[in-house]
Amino acid sequence: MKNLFARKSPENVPEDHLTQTDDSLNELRKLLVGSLQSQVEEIQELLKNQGIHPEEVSKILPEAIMIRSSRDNQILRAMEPITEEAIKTSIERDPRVLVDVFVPVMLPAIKKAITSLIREMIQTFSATLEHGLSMRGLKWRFEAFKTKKPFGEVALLHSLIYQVEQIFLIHKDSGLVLQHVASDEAVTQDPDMVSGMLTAIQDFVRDSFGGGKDDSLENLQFGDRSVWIEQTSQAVVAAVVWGNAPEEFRSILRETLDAIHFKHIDTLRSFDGDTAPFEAEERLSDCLKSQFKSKEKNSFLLWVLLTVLIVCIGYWSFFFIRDHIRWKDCVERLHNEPGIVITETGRKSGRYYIFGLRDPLSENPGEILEKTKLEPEKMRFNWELYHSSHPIFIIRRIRSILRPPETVTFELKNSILHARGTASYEWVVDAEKLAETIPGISGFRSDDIVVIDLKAIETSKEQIEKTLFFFDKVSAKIRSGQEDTVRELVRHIQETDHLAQILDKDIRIEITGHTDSTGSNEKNLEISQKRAEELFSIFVSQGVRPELFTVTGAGSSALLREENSEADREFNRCVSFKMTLKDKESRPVGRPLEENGVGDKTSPDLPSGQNKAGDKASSDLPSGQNKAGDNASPDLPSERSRSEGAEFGPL
Amino acid sequence: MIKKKICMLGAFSVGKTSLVQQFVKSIFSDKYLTTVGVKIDKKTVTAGDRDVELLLWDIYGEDEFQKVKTSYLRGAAGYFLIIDGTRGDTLETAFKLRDRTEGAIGEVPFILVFNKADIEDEWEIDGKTLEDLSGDGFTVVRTSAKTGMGVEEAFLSLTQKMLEG
Ligand SMILES: Nc1nc2c(ncn2[C@@H]2O[C@H](COP(=O)(O)OP(=O)(O)OP(=O)(O)O)[C@@H](O)[C@H]2O)c(=O)[nH]1
Ligand SMILES: [Mg+2]
Repeated sequence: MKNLFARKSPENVPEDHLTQTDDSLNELRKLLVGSLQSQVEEIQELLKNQGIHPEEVSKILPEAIMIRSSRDNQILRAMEPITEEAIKTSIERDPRVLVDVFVPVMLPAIKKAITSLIREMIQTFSATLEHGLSMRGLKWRFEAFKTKKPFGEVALLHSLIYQVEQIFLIHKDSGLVLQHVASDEAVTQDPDMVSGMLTAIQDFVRDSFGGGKDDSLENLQFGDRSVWIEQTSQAVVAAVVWGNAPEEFRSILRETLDAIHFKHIDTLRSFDGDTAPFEAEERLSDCLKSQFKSKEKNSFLLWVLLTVLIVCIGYWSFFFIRDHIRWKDCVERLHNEPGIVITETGRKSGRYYIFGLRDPLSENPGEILEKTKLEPEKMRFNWELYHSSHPIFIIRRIRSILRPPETVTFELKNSILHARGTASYEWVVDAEKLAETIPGISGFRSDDIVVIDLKAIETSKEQIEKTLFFFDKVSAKIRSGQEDTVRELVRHIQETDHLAQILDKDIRIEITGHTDSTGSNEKNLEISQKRAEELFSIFVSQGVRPELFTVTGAGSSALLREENSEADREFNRCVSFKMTLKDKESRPVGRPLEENGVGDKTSPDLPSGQNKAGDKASSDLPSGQNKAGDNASPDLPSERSRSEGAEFGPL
Repeated sequence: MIKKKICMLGAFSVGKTSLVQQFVKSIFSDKYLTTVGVKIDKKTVTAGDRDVELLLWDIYGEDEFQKVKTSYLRGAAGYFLIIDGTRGDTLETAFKLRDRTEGAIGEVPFILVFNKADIEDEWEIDGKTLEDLSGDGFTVVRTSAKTGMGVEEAFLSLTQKMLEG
């Protein structure tokens, strides 16, 4: 139409031609066209105006747009930049205008988005709390680390156990079911009725609590199940879910619904109850998701492993802690031990080690270690030897050098060594010489020493060997009246023993039983043995050390007198004594670790070979007796004198 | 499968629930349990050569305190207006409901059901009124939910109308 106007307007109709007509012609025209005159003038006016008349355009514009836009989208394309520009200008001038327009549209959508976001966050948060520290939590933490997802999200994913049991696709207006899918396990009612009720409930809720057309029920909860509802203007999906589905499931529903909505929009709008077009829809079944609890078996195995691990750790740490306590104890003990200085302790390749200084005369660290019960293979010592200047050690060192008898005590005063007690003359002489060689000692005082020597023992020996005990015939009991002699002898023996100790010697007393020459040899041996034993047991019962004695029965082989009379025989029924003196086997003063071995000096020793003969202790009685019996030969006196010479020669 | 939503509309206690029960389950009870909200039932009927699934929305009866909400009517393909023959005012209610329904969902097929035909001697509404209504072009049926009389026919005839319309 516009075109039509445009083409008809030009100069084809000459204006001057009109003006040249005369009045009669005007008259005639009036008659011919009459009432149309005004219309003709209107047309003339229109023709004169070569542009487009807005008034006219406004009449046809909407129609024109409609016609054109039904053909192609040219108009849309033309409008696009203008609309954009207009919106831009409007916002630049005053953004509130557009905000006011959009708020009613946007706000519900924004509200909904935020709500679901918050809900998702809360779920994530509580899942984090619940599983943050559990064993599974550790596993998930690893998974989160691997997948670079936030831990909360991973935890949620695993802890949600749910099953989507049924999904309804519902025509919104009628509440009729367009499609229904259900998982194999789900027990379903008639979907149409369920859907109808659901729709009715929706309507009821909306009617009862108000709210706009777009507000709708999104969730129904009943026991373990919930119904998740999403809707568009035409359709509704409702999913029956058992358990806890992640909030993400809602977006899946939403997407599915949107896809179906747009695909079937026309069918939905003109829905007349025919559900056939929806039956082939496969999207709904894809929403039948589920997630189950991880298998119990796995966790059982995990627990077993964990238990074993805990037991192992417990076992190990028990020993570790125990050893550590022992180790601490050991270090403590060593630390408190005089003469031991610890410089470094530690643990290296499973073994403890202690480095330090140690005086050779200090307590043996090995023994201290034993006391703490720490296995020696777990410990390594590394000692540097040194001389402690602690007074105890100075004294110890002095003792180790001077080797005093036990009866001697020392005192160090202003670096002068005072010795007290009793000692042999030889020791005092030696000590005075040796003391000069000891570093740190400037003098030696032995004024307080009571000097004793072997002469004292010699006297005692004579006393002892002089003593005889007599017996009645055949009897093994000493004849009465000799009790004082016994007491005297015991005193002598004990005194002698004490003196011997001071002189660093041991004494041996041989008790020999005798008989007269009457009677059989065998019988005599037996009786003589019994007589010697009688005396032995008397001495022991009076408190004399038993190891001092050897007991021999000589029978009638070693008669003390020639038997010319009954008196001689009486004399021969006796027990005699013989004492020997010998060096001690070990010295009580000595320390186990005497590396320096300084000052191994005592009085001149008896020939060491001699010791062995008298070495048999009384405990060895039977064999000793046999030996004595064997040796009971006529040349005994010479044997005796030989040994006598050997023993006492040096005195 | 064709599915149709049908609404049962009418004043309270006219027998809407009883009619649905009779039609779907062929049972009747003298006890009156008023319907709260909506109860939905389903029955498949064969109209001509087609199976049609009817979703029956039994809606609570209208009274002076509670008007029927039109949101329940959305998407209905047809409806019954139930009238209790023994109560004349239920006819008025039926027409009020028709007006409201047409306002809400437009013109869809409906049938006027005069119920409780088994006690016709107690009716307030006389036969002439029914004839007049038929004459005005309304589809009118007499039913008894108690005996089952006319019930099947009422549902079939509405189905027929819906399929035609
Ligand atoms: N005699 C007879 N009684 C009927 C018939 N139909 C219903 N009734 C009785 O009428 C009463 C009401 O019936 P309902 O079907 O509950 O009525 P309603 O329309 O559903 O009532 P509301 O749900 O309250 O709106 C009941 O006591 C029924 O037994 C009928 O055809 N004959
Ligand atoms: Mg009812």
